[in-house]
Parts: sequence; structure tokens; C-alpha cells
Amino acid sequence: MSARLGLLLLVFFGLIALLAIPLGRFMARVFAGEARTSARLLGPVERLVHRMAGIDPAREHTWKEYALGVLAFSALTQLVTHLILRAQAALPGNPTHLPGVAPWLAFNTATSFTTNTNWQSYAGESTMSYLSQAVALTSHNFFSAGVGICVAVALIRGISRAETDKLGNFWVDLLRVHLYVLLPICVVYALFLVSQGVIQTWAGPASWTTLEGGTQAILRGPVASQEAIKMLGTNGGGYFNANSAHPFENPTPLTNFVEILSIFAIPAALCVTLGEMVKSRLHGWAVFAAMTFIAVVGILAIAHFEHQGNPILAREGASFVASAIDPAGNMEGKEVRFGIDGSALFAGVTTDASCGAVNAMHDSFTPLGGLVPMLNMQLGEVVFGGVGSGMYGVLIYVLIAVFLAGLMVGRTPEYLGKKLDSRDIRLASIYILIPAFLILIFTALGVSTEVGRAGIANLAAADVDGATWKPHPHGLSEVLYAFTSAAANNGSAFAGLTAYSADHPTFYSLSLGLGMFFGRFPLIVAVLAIAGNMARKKRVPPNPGSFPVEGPLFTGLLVAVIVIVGALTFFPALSLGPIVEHFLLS
Amino acid sequence: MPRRIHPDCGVDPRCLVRRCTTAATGLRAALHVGPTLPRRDGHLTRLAWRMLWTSVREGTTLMLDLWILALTLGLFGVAAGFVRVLERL
Repeated sequence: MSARLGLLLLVFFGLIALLAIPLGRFMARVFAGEARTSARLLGPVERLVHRMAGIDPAREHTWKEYALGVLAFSALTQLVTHLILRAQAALPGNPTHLPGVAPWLAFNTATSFTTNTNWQSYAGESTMSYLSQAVALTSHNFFSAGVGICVAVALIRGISRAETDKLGNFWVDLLRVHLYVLLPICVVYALFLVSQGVIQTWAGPASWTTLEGGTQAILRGPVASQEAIKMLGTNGGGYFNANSAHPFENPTPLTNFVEILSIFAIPAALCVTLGEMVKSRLHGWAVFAAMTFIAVVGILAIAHFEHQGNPILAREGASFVASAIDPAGNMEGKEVRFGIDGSALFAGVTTDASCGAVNAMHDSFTPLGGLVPMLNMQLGEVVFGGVGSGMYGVLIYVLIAVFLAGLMVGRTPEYLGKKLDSRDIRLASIYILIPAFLILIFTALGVSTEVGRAGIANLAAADVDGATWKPHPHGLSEVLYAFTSAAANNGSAFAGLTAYSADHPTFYSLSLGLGMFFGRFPLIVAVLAIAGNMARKKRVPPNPGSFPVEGPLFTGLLVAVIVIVGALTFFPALSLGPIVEHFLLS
Repeated sequence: MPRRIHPDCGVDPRCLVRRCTTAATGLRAALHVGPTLPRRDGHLTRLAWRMLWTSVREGTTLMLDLWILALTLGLFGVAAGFVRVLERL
């Protein structure tokens, strides 16, 4: 580990912890309806929306009502997004006169943004009109993030409440998270980005005369407003195809650092919110510590493998000695201005959280350097994770860790005064199994069908003779990464994979769409079912047999459970992809 | 798409047959006599016509669009059904 990376990590996680405290406490007050200063400013707007929408804020929902609210809202917004994308040719805000988005691509994109995945089988600047970007996609960045936070808060309420079947009112929570948290932060954030050079304009492309006398169109658009929520909401869908490697999205070292910081801001703050709402601040910090440990190890691993470089190039005589102008190592697919450490930090953070924005091309990482982002997602996006989804995901792992601890000492497992029963664990198992099932089944389908293999860039290994298909392990990695990213609702890609083409518009659009959908909504339903079950239980006073969930023992157990479940499930698939590729190189 | 309307009351006399919305509107139209002028459609109406025209122009994908719409609704229907499944679990 270089001193520069060590310092970067220290400053980064220090700032995350400092940010998490005020933001997490503020969110706890918002969801308890106790954010008085904000309510004085924005309360009239909230009450007006309640009146206009016929919402009774005093009426709380059961877990089923809450789940149906989530589904109804998401279905409606997905359909509206789909229609806007299809009809963009006839709508205003289309200065480059782009045609309507093709049907399957529109389905894939609408599903992607509804599920907070933001997988992009298109290049934004040449496919989406300004209106599609600013209205259809950006609004979804808010909505999907808001829904995730609401579900996490409902689960925390289920844990903190006793002998009730109510989890809060979904519509009230959804409005509050937008009005008090996401919108105010994004307004300030977008203005900061504009101050640094991120563009925000409705004017069409600019024309530029190049040094050779040619004319070049500089594509522009309302970027800053999308960039802010793209990072804060852990959405990740870039305005431009190059995402956060594009200078109009991420122009300076400061924007690069702030963008990475904002990915973790809300997921980290939710740890503090957890501690506040369950009246155990140390428990929130124990969860935070577990997440931080896994994240730091992952980032260090990516940086280590990328600094090693490609051994084949080393054998051919390439120099891997660091100098003032050369960070030494694998710089393919990386921005020189970010270097290996800046790219490793971004890649680790974006795949720990379910963000998916990138400032380097993950497909160009070394095999083991690329394995880490993939594994981050396969752990279930619980290392800070997506906004909301990371918190409810890690709480599922917490339940499993407490359950295992109870089994080990032979006592009924108990979490924060609630005895865990078989229903909790059955539902938690469903939560863990659905993404694993989606990733492995769809990957198998992708590499075993002709239409699936048609999208693979690194398809054939020249040294396998006599086989009808000569599989290249990196080809498997491309497909495995894609379905991992979809089911984990991340959205980043090994971009060698062509997921959408005029010849094959359906296969990946549909299969990735299904992966994203079933990786999101059935899991939310399972989480809310657990929340409902927890809320109904009586609280039992702590006793000598209660497993402490506030100290390093709990943090260690949680880390072990997360890593073992993820590693055991996906180790065989990873062995056939990046691990084999690593040994082929060395 | 211009249509003929009565200049002073702004009512399309054909609305009695085609798209009468209220009895009062229909009555006003029926009672009105006088010349008619071309009407400029409202902004939203023009937008709706353009969208309709675009969808007709790209008519080959209409059935596919309907299938995808049904698929989307079906997926959310399955998710809603999953609520019932987990309720009974």
C-alpha cells in the first residue's frame, strides 16, 4: 500500500464518519417527524402535497400495505419513464433530434432506473434526449433512492417497535425523504458541481473548430442536476457514456473526491440512523465498522493487483517502476489524472455501494483487480450498499449472524430484545438466495446460448482446440459481471459485453431486465415481511444470554458471515472466470 | 390539426356528436349560430397529436410495445403476488 493511498483512505473514511453523524441523526428526526427547523420551512409544502394527494399522514401502513405502496409507485413511475423514452422524438427538449428509444432498450432502461440499478446498454449522449435524461431518468434517480431509504426505515421501525403491525406510512416517508433529504442536498451539490465546471445547459451541441481545421460537435446537456443525484442516490447512470471519467461529469480532483464521498454519504449515515432509531448508537457504529473493514480490504486489494500490472507485459520488457509521471502498473482503461489509487478507490466504493458509476473501465482491470468489484456486488451490496438497500441488506445479514451466534451457544437467538423465529430466518434465506439464483442461472444461460455469446467481446481462447466454442475466462467474467451487476442493482459493467445491438436487441435487454427486477422487488417484499414480523413481537429485557450486538465480537461475526456466504456461493463461478484468467496470465 | 369552431363561444359544434363533454357545452353549441373560424389546437393537444403520429409512423413496433407493456405490468403483478406468498409463509 502506498502512503498516498493510505492517506486517501484515512481522509476518506474519516470524512465519511464525520458526515454520517449529523446526516444520520437528521434522517432519524425526519422519519420520526421531529425535524422541526426543516418542517418550519418545508412543512407547508408537505401538508399541501398530502392534501392534494389525499394522504392521511396519521394513518400508518402494515407491511403488506407498505409493500403494495412501493410496488404501485414503482410500477407507475416505470411506465411513465418507458413512455417518455419511447416518445422522446415527439417531445420537446431534443435539440439533436434523436429518435425514440427502441422498445427493448426502453424496457431495459426503465427497469434499470426504477430498480436503482442504472445499467446502461446505451450511450447517454447519443441515445437520450435532454428531456429523457432530465425528467425520465433523473426523476427516477430520486424515486428509486427514496424508495430504498423508505424500506430501510420501515425495517428499522419493525425492529425498534413492539407489539404493533404498523411500519409507518409509505407515502409520508417517501415525500419526507425527497423534500427534506434528497432535494435540498442535491440543489447545493449540483451548484457545487457547476462551480467546478460540470455543465448544466439546455442549449444544443456546441460546434468547435479543431486544430486541424475540422468541425467537431461538443455534446452538452443538463448534466450537473443529474450528476448530483446520480452519486448521492447511488444510482450511477451517467449522462455520458464515459460516466464519471468524462470531464463534463467529473472535471477536477475535488469533484472526483466529493463524488466518491457522496456515494457513501447516505448509506453511512443510515448506520447512525439505525443507532438512533433502535436506541443503541454503538450498534449502528458496529455495523459501520464491519462495512468499513470490508470496504478498506477490497480497495486495498484492487489497488494492489492494479499496481502489479499485467505480467505478460512485464515479461515482454515493459517497465513497472513508479515515477513522477507514471504510477506504474495497469493503466489500461484508467484516466491518467486519477491514476491507479484514485481509480481503485472509486471502483471499490462504487461496487460496495450499489452505485455503478465508474471513473475507470472495470473490464480493463487485471483479472484479480476485476474480481474484487465483482465480489463486492456478490456479497449483496451490503458494504454500505445502495441508499437504503445497503442498510436493509446488512440487517438481513445481522439477523443471520445473530441466529448463528444463538445456535452456537444453544440459546434462542435474540436481536435487540426480539427473539428471532423460524419465519424471520426463512424470509432472510429467501433474501439471500434470490440474487444468487438470478446471477448463476442467468450467467449459465448467457454463456450457453448462441445469442448470449454473441455479445461477448473476449469470446474465444486460441489455445483450446477441437471445441465448438473455445471459452475465454474473461468472456465468462463479462457475462458473470453483467448479471451480478443487474441482480445486485449496481449497474456498472465489464463494458466489453455488448448487451444491446440491432442484431440482438432482446436477449440481454430482457434477461438483465428480469435480473434487475427480481433482484429488487421480491427482496423488498421479503424485507418488509421481516419488518412486519419483527414489529409484532414482544420485547424481552436483556439477559446474560443475550448476544451483544455492540462490540468488536459482533463486528467480526458480521464480517465473517457476509464474506463466507458471498464467497461460498460464488467461488466456483469466480474460479472459472477471473481466477483462471489470472493463472493464464502468470 | 385545425378544426372549425364558433368564434365567440369557442365550442366545436361537432362536439355534440364526436366528443361532447357536458350537457351545457353541447347545448351552447347547438344553440349557437354564426360563422366559424379555424381553431389552433392547444399546446398539449398538438403534443398528443405528434406523439400519436410518431407511434403510427413507428407502427411496426406497436405490438411489441404492447407486449412489453403487458410484461411490465405482469412483473409488478408477480411481485404483488409475492406479497401474498410471503404472507402465508
